[in-house]
Amino acid sequence: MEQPWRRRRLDIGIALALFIAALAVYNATLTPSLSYESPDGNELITVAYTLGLAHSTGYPLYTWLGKLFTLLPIGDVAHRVNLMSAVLGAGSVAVLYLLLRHLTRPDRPGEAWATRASLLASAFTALLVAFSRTFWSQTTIAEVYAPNALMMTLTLGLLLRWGRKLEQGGRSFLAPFCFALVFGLSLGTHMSNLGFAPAFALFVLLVGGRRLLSGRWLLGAGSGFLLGAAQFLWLPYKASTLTDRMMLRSAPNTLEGFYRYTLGAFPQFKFAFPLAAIPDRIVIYLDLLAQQYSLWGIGLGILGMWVLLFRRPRRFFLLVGMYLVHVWFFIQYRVFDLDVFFIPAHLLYALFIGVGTAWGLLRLGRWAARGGWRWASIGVLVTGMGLAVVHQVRANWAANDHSEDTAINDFYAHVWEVLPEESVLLGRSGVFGYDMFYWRLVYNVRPDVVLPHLPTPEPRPQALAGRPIYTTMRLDMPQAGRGPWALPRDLVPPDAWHIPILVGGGGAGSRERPGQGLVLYQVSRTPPDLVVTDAEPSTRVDASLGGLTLVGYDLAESTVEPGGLLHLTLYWRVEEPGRYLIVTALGDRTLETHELGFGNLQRYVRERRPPREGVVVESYAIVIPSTLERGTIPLQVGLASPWGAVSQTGVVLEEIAVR
Amino acid sequence: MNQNHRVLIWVGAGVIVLMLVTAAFALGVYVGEHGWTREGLTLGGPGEPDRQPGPPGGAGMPPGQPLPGGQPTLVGRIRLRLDEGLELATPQGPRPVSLTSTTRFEDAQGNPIEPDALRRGDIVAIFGHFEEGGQRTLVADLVVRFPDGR
Repeated sequence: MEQPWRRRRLDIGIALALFIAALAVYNATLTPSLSYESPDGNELITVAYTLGLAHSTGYPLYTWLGKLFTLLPIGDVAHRVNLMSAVLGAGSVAVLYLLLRHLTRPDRPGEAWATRASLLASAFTALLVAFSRTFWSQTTIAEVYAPNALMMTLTLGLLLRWGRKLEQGGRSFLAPFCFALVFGLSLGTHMSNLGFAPAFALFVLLVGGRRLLSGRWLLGAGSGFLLGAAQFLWLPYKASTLTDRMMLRSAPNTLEGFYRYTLGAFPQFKFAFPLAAIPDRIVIYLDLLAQQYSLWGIGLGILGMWVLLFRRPRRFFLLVGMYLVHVWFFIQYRVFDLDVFFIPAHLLYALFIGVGTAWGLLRLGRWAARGGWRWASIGVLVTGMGLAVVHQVRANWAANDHSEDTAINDFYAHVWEVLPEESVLLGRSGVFGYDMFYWRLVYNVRPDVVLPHLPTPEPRPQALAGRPIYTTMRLDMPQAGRGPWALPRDLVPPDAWHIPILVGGGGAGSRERPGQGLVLYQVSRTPPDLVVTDAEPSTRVDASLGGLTLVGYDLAESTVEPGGLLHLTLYWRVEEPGRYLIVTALGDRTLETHELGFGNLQRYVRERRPPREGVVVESYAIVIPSTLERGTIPLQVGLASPWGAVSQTGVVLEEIAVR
Repeated sequence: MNQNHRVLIWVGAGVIVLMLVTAAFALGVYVGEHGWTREGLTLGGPGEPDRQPGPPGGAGMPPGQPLPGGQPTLVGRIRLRLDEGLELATPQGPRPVSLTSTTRFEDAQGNPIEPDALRRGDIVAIFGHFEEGGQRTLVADLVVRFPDGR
């Protein structure tokens, strides 16, 4: 018979082992510092360090937890907040295991095989979740979803604990208080947790019945929730620190502003699809679910729902209620990165998978025992489940490995070096500007350089007067007039040229957010010498690459350090008009991609009318990734399709020694 | 098994059956339109327009305006048209795109086209920006339709 103390010790041991296993993998794939993998990550990191106010819905608990992690003596501040996602994500895997053990615990305690089935199914399912595509992706970057997974699983665990006490006739004040406190706190990692409240209420009603009218419980739950939700007083307290224009429009310093910043945030995303589109939205969700657990996982989940319904109907209604509300809300949510919003639903579905797996193992074990080959079948099963987990890790590793994403840090390390004294650096504002603001707000880098967005969201031309101006975004593109790139139109002369100085890689997240291209431009009234007639490159190539001929190049150095610079000048002849994207690469690693002339060519041709046989000259410094392996690597230049396809044609310039 | 328990199981069974029927209906609608493929959700590979010379530019230089940001923010097949924008099937899955009064529409040669000319199934490249304030909306500055709807 399973002894309670022994069982508890075993469960804690297994939960700890799962925590360590998950954390080891998350840490191996962790983003080393800043990243574009999440649109808000760099802001969340900086806000945690400065104890400021994050974008809607404020995320007070996340900010405070993040602050604690920034005190760790590991890596830089960004790395520490990334690590928080890994630690709390691994923590939620451990709690998930304990939840599964609660749900799959045998009804008849004497049956040893039932206990083994429960242990095996719970551990297996927890690992399946740990290394599922979307959940894992959020444990390697600074984002709210992994911490929120922990808060959600803790809330659920405390509610089930309270439910068990109610079923046993207990009258504890502490159990409802703890549950409601953590539930209230969980709103500080994601406000959508509030949607679970109806399912929580239904469960408590089903379990507690009339006894719930006791003032003791109401007082416990009510005071706990209010105490947890009181964290949102942080919003009006910190409202004055907001510099983000969009957030300032609904600054939480009035009651209306408070509502618009929290519960009323993002109204345009909610219920954004007509009824006729719902079947399509359901298919999108099912596709995402299949990406996490595959079709057999979905099947096991359906089996688990039936099993749970017959064995523990009240818990069935709790979990299905939470699950359906969450799925129903988010299938109608219109956002770019929809997949991450389903993480709580995926966690809930995993509970069904665990119950289904435990039931299947139990039946299989009993059947195998009749044939007298139970232990052989256990061996086969454990091996099969282990292989399934290994497959999950292998299949999702490449997509979630951000350990070499150093593009932002590599780029800005040089930006702060090349900027002249007392210069001005412009860039994106709001949430997207924190790749730049981070350095000033956290490390006070180059205090002589004016970052006009920092003191005020509406920088004035006077702040720039007489100073050399640099920018990380073109100010003459359509998007400069609105959105995150928006700057006052009279901030720089409208006829200014944007001359590229420094070009970095896009970072891991740039695949879907290429607006984050890393280029430092000098803003100048004088145009660059973009088209010349007497080009004399130090090395001639004369290679035809589609509609362009690479006449030759100058390369200032043939040896470079990881994280260093390559100063390159390319000479092009346009044979055929068209839109051309130039790609430079070291070996198979793309260094940067840019449009021929860095967006200056059309205007240059229009205004300067250079001769048709002129040669286009591009001169700039390329940032070499600091994670590049040392060795001798060929430097290549090629053309890519402007439509996002892979490089079409290319030519090797010369071998570069990376030392 | 008491009466309450029995009622809960019947209601719960109804919920599961309803979920399964809803999912089956949704899948049926999808399969009826796209068959047993993921075509309606993702784009197998980015469409590649024919490289055709555009209208002559001065000194043999490219015509039209520069591409904002060089590469498109998103390439995908139009799977849904909504009042506020489009939803594309992209290699990464379905992605919404907002259109505004200032969004420009062009064909691959840089000639302007009417927004209404965009149809479901067309492959388009979006050059755009993400909205401010942690909002996850891609706003299109330029929509380029690939030739022959590819």
